[in-house]
Amino acid sequence: MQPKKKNILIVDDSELNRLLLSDILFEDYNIIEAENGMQAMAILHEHGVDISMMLLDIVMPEMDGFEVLAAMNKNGWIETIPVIMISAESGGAIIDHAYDLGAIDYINRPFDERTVKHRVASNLMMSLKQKEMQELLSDQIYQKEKDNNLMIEILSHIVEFRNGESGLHVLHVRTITEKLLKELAKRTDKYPLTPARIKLIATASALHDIGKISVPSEILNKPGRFTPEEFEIMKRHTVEGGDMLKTIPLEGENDLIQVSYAICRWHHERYDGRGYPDKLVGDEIPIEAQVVSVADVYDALTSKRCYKDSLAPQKALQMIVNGECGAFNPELLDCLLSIGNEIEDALKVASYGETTQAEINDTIQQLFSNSEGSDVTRRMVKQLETERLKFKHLADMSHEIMFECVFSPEMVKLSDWSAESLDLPSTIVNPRENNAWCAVFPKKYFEDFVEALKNTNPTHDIVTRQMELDTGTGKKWYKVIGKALWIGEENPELDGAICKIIDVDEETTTMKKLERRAERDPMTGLYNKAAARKHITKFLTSETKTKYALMFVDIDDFKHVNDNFGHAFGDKVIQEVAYRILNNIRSSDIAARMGGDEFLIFLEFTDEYADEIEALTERIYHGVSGPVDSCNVSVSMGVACIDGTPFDYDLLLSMADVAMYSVKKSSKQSYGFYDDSMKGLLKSATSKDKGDKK
Amino acid sequence: MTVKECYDEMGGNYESVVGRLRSDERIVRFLSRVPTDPCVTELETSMASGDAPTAFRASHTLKGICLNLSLDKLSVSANALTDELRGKDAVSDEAKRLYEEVKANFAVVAAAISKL
Repeated sequence: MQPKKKNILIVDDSELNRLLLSDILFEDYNIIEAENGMQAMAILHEHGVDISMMLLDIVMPEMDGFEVLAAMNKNGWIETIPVIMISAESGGAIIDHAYDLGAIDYINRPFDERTVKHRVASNLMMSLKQKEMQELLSDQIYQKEKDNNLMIEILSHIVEFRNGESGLHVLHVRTITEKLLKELAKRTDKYPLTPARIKLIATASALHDIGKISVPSEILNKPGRFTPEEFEIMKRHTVEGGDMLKTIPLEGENDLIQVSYAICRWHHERYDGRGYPDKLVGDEIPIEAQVVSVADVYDALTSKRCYKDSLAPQKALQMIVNGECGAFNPELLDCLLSIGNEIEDALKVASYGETTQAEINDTIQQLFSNSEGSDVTRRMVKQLETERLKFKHLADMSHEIMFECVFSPEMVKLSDWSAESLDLPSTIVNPRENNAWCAVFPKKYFEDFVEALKNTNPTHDIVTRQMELDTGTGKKWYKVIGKALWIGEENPELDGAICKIIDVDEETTTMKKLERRAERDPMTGLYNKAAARKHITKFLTSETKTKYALMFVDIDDFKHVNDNFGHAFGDKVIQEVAYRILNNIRSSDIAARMGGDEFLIFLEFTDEYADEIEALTERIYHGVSGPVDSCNVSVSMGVACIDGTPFDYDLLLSMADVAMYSVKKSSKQSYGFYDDSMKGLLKSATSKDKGDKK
Repeated sequence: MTVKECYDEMGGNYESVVGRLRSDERIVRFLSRVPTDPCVTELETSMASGDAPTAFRASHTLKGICLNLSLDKLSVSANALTDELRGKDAVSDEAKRLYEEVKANFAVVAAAISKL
């Protein structure tokens, strides 16, 4: 079955423009048209989220594009229906305004068919990914309930960051909560506190303050006392936190979320009903919330905050027990008193081992410097954090060396795994001058690579280089791939690059082996015909006074050998002749099998003494001829000499060929040299040769 | 008359339009709609009655069409008119002058298209 086409709503007052867009898109999508904002709203009411994407003009009668966006914000459609703005307006402010209102992309007139198609497709893909990510997020919560939850860590870090509290608060609350619950479970079975349940509550405790995301940071971080109004706003974090958890889409019942909800909403309730927000009394307050409230207060008292110094643990215990921080479950207070020392010790050692706190803070800081804790931000934070962590894990899991290249100021940022495996710091400023970095990535390679990245453009932003690097296991072949980051639609700027180094040593070695093998005649191991041409031509192209000789070697009566002794023996003769040729030439000479029983030798000679080449030929001739088993094998050789290059390979070849045929014609079993008297034969030989090639 | 010749005659950019829209067939199909596009009459009536906001939208639409079809010369004058009318309550003399230019260029475009 063919998948259903996605619906795209085109909103434009010009019919011609609508037609043009639908003409571009109708093959892949189902097009719905509206000629103004009012119509668009009516269609949205009717089709709702069946609309996969909206292309929206700005200047329209009745209701313009901005009004449509505003209405979509009000109805929440903007979150589910991606909007691409289309207009001839190109002012930055207008685009900014559209983005502020939730448009995800912008296409300028005039339309380019490919641009329109591409933008629509990629934005659809992206919104699809976002939806998937939301689902993934809920999957994660569900899956990771058993161990430690990613989300919890992320969210609690976010809260702490905004709180300006030490990153340890969440961890402390968790530690205290766990210890109190264990102690409580020892004393009473009034509450269903299995070890699993205790772990669950401890995990969920990390989320107790997530609602603080919705509290403006001026209030949250106010050094002095709150005004009554401010306190009311501050108090809302309990309800807000609970509501946030309720909005997380989950499959079926979820213990972690239920427990977290109770903790978020009720961790400021007090046993005597004087807490907030619901003024629950006694065990109306779920035990998980009761325990967290004690833990929260204890850690708050013993920690330094912007508005107060830290108290000694004994003093804090005293205040809590005396009811100075509100009333608590007496049984819990007993527990607290009896394990006070244990808690004190535990908090001393509790710290974030492997968590890269600074890194998380950086990301979060960036996010919050842009916007306050609105609905959108909250979602964004979640998604970005998940993405970031996913990337980090992927980068670490792939066991490839990955780094980010920042161009100004120039620095290299290695992924955690890469830094560890290379034994380098994760950030290297001024890498060209850094010896440790250059030991891995030699300076001239690095400079060339960076230069290539800088010379990319937004459409061709990938640079690939193959080079020998040393990542600690000696020099090996690596492929270095860099993707330049061009940021911005209208005037893209180069922001840096992400790069990875892939080990291709084995691949490259194999390739080189294959290359070598491709040059060889499989039966004899000599060069084949094509390789002979390639390698000999190299010597013949440059202008020199060097003397070269090319010898054609042909086994006499090979047909007779084959016929009388069989093909297997024929092969053996060929192999023997090849072996003898190799034994009679120098390693710098070239020997090749041209096919059948024909061989070729190419060598340099000096003519230092008279008839040097004759002597050489004589030696080779006698070295190659001789019986193989009981069969007498002889060869004929034609030799062509030149006393300077450049020289045409084909010509040289046919000269040797002609020389050999004259030998064969005359006496057989000998060798002969090419001379000018054979010129006439040469022409016909060359033309014959050429005719063969066709 | 070829599409290219038509574009040359009306001061358009054939290379640009064919590069973006990819086929003569499609270009002609849309060109043929230009002379009768509602925005033309709308612009005429609103300019006559002095209804600046409507005239702005109409010239804006015309400009958009011109951009999409690479009718460069008409696009330039429509753009000038659009800018003059933007945010105005009344039609200025300058707008009237610019409208005459638009009309003249439009006549050239319509004439060229009719020969296709």
